[in-house]
Amino acid sequence: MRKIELPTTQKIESSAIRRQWRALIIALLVLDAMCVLGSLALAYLIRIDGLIPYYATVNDAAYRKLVILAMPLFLACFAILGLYQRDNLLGGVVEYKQVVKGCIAGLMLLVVYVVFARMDDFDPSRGWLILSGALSIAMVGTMRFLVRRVVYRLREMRWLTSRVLIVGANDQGVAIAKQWMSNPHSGMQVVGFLDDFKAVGSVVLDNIRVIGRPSALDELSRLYHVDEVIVVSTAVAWESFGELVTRDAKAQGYTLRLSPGFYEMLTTGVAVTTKTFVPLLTINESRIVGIDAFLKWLLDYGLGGLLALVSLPFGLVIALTLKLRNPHAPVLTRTRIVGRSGRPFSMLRFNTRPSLAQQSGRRGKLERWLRMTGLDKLPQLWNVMRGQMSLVGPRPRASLDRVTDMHTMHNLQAVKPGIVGPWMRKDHHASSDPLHDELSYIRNWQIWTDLPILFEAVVKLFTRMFRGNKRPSHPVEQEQEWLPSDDKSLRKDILY
Amino acid sequence: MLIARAPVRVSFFGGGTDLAAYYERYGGAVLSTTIDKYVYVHLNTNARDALQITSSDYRTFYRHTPGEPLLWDGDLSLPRAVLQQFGVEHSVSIFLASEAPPGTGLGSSSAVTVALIKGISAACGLNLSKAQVAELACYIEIEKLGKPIGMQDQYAAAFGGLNWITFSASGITVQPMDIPWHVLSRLESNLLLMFTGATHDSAHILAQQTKATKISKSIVVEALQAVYELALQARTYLQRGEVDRFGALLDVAWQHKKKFAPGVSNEYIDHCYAVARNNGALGGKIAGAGGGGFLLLYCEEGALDRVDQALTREGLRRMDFRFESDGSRVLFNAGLRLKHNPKWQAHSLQKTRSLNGHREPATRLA
Repeated sequence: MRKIELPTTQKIESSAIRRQWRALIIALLVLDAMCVLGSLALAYLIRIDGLIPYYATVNDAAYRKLVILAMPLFLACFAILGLYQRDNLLGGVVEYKQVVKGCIAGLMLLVVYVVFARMDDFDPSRGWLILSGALSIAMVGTMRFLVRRVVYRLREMRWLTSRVLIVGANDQGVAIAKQWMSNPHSGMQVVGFLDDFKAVGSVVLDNIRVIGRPSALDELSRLYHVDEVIVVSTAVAWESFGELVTRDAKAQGYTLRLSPGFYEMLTTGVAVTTKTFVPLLTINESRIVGIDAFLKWLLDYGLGGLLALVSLPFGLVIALTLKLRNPHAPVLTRTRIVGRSGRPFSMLRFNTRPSLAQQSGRRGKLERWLRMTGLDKLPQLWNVMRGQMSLVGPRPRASLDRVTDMHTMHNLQAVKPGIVGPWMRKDHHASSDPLHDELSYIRNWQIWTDLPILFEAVVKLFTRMFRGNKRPSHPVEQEQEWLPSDDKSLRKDILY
Repeated sequence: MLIARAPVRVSFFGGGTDLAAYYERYGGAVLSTTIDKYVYVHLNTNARDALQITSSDYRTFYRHTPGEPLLWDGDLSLPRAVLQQFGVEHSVSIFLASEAPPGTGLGSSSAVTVALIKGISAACGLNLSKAQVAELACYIEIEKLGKPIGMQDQYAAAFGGLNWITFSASGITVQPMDIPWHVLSRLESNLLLMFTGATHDSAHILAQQTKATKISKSIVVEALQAVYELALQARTYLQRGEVDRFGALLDVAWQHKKKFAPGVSNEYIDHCYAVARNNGALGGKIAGAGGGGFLLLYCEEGALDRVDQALTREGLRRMDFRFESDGSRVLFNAGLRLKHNPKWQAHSLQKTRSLNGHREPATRLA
C-alpha cells in the first residue's frame, strides 16, 4: 500500500487544521460576547444616558447585571442557530441570517427574563429594544464580515483549509475541483480523486491525480489526512455508491458529502426543502436567489434608476441630434437577445450605423464618439428597468448557437445579461478562454463582484469622454456573436 | 435496467497449474492481471413472460417461452446455465457484449459467467462476495457445463487486479500483488498485446492437457512443475521491481508451455514470436491456453513501437490496454428486481467447494 507523494508544502496535518478551527470558534465566541456587550452598552449610552429623556425606571447596577446575563443568552442562541458550526461559517449568507435571528431571539429572551424576574429597577423602553436589536445585529454582523476577510487572507497561507478527496473524476468532479482551486478563499484543498473508471495515477487536473479506487476510501483518507470527502453521484459505479453512503465517515475522521450529479447545479444552486421528513433538492431557476437577489435588484433598480433619471436629458439630446442628422433612420436599434432562462427580448441602443451617405467613405463623428465612449448603450437602462438586463452581467448574445456546450449555455442563461460585465475588465483580455471569465463571474457572483466592474466601467467612460478616441483592446471577434446580422459595418470599432 | 461488467485477464505465469487434475496433486499458482477490456451484461425486465438472450459477440439471439425445456447447447449455454442456477426463468431480457472477442485467450468466457452472476445476483437482491461469485462461476462452467478448463479466469475476473492466485486441494487464495505504482506502471507500459487473428477453442487443448496430467504424462507434469517454479520466480522479480527480468522469464515459460499439448503453438505463432524477439521483445507468450488469439509480449524499454510495427507488417493488430483492479461490479442499477428461486443458495453453494483463506484484495495504491 503506497501513496503518491504530495509536494511537502501541501502537507498539513489535519490535527493542526482542527486546532485552527477550534481557535477560530473560540475567537468568535469572545468577539460575539464583546459585540453583544458593546451593543447593549451603546444602546444604554444613546437611549438611556443620551439626549432623549428616559422616563422609565432604570438602575445602573441592574442594567450591568442584565448585560452580563445577556452575553451567555445571546451566545446560546447563536450556538443553537449553528453560528459556531463549520458548515455555516465563512461562506454564503446563512451566517448573517442566523446572526439576525440569534440577536432577535437573544433580545426576546432578555425581555422574558426581565418580565418573569420582575425586575423593578429596569423597565425596557421600545426605543431601547429597537436600538439594542439593531446595534447587536449590526455589530455582530460587521464583526463576522471582518473575521471572514481575515480568514480569507489566512486561507491564502493554507490556514483553516480542509483537505478534500473527490470521489468521481468525471466532468462534474473536475468542475467542482476547478471551482475550489480557482478560489484561494474556498478553504478546500483538493488532494486527489478516487475513481472507478480512470487508471490509478492518471492526472485529472493540473497536478491532481486519481490516487485510488472508491473502495480504498478509508485507507486513503487516513494516508492523505483528509477532512472532507465529496462523492459525485454520477461519476461512481452503483456498487461503489452503495458502499460509500453506508460508511461510518465519522469513525474514519472525515465528513462525507454528496454532490448531486448535475453540472448545472454548480451555477444555479439548489434549495434543500423537507416534505414530511423527506429531504428534497429544488433546483433554482436563477443563479442569484435570496438576499443576493435582493442586493442585485437594489443595484439594478436603485443605481440603474438613478442613472436612468440623471442621463435622461442627455439621452434625449443624443436622440434629437441623431434624428436631426439622419431624419429617415430610426434613433434606436433593436437587437433580439437571449435573456435569462432563454427568454428573448429586444435590446435597445442608439443607432450609430453610418447613413447611406456616410457609407461612401465619410463616417459620422458623433456616431463614432458614441460607440467609442459606450454611450450608445444608454437606452439599455430601459432594458434594466424592464427587468430584462442587469447593469452588470455576462455579455448579451443574439443566440447561443455558437455555444455548443450545453452546460455553458445553461450557465449563461442563469443570470440576466449586463450592460457592462467581466469581459470588459483589463485582465479578461489576457484570458485564453473568452468564456472563462464570464462563467467564473456567474458561478462566483457576489454583490462585491459587481462593484469593481461598475467602477471600472464608469472610469473608462469618463476617460474616453474627456481624453478622446481610443480603440477598444478586446478582440473584435468576441463582439460579433451578439451584433445584429446587418450591423457588420460596426464590427471594427464596437466599444465596451 | 441493470448493467454489470467483468474484466478479462492476461495470465503471465502459472497457466495450466490451475487445472484440478494438476493442483489437487501438486498445488498450483497463477500470476495474472485483469485489463480494462470488459464483458458487459445488460439486464432488463421483459414486458412479456418470455426469457430473451442476445449476444453481440456470437451474433446470436435466443427466446425461451415458459413451459418449454431450456436448450443446453449452442453459444448461449453459459447465460442459460446461470439463469437456471438462480431460478430465473422468465420476464428478463439479457444483452451480452464484450470488448474482447471470445476465444482469444483472455478468459472472456469466464468473464461472461462472472458478469452474469454478478448482475443476476444483484438483480435478485443477493449480495455475493467476490469469492462466492468466482466459486459459483467455476461450478457452473466446470461442473455444470463440463468444460475442461482451469479456475484462474473466474477468480481473476471476479477479484480484479494483479493477483497471485494459489490453488490446492484445501482451497484457493487470491493475494493482490502489493508492488509500487511506478513498477506497475513500467510493467504496463512495456507490455504489448497483438491479435494474431486466429481464435481458438481452449477446451480442446486443455482437455488434452488434463488427460495427459491425469495419466501423469511425465513431460507435461514436469513442464507444469517448471511453470509453477517460474511463477514463484516471477513473483519475486515483481516484488523486487526487476521488471525486465520478469519479462525475460516470460520467454522461458513460453518454451515450457509449448510442451503442454499439441496445438498450443503453430508455425505462424512461432514466426511472429521470433520477429518480436528480433525487434526487442524480451519475452512473451500466447495468452490463454494457446492455439491463437492474443500474443502477449514484454518489450525492452523503448522497443515497444518497433515490435508493434514489425508485427503489424506480419498481419497482427495491436490492442491498447491498461491494468485494472475493480473486478466484477455493477455499474448501474435502476431498481431492477428479478424473481428468483429462494432455495438457489442451498442447492448451488453447498455443491461448491468450501474456500479457506479467501481475502478480498485491497485496492492497489500508487
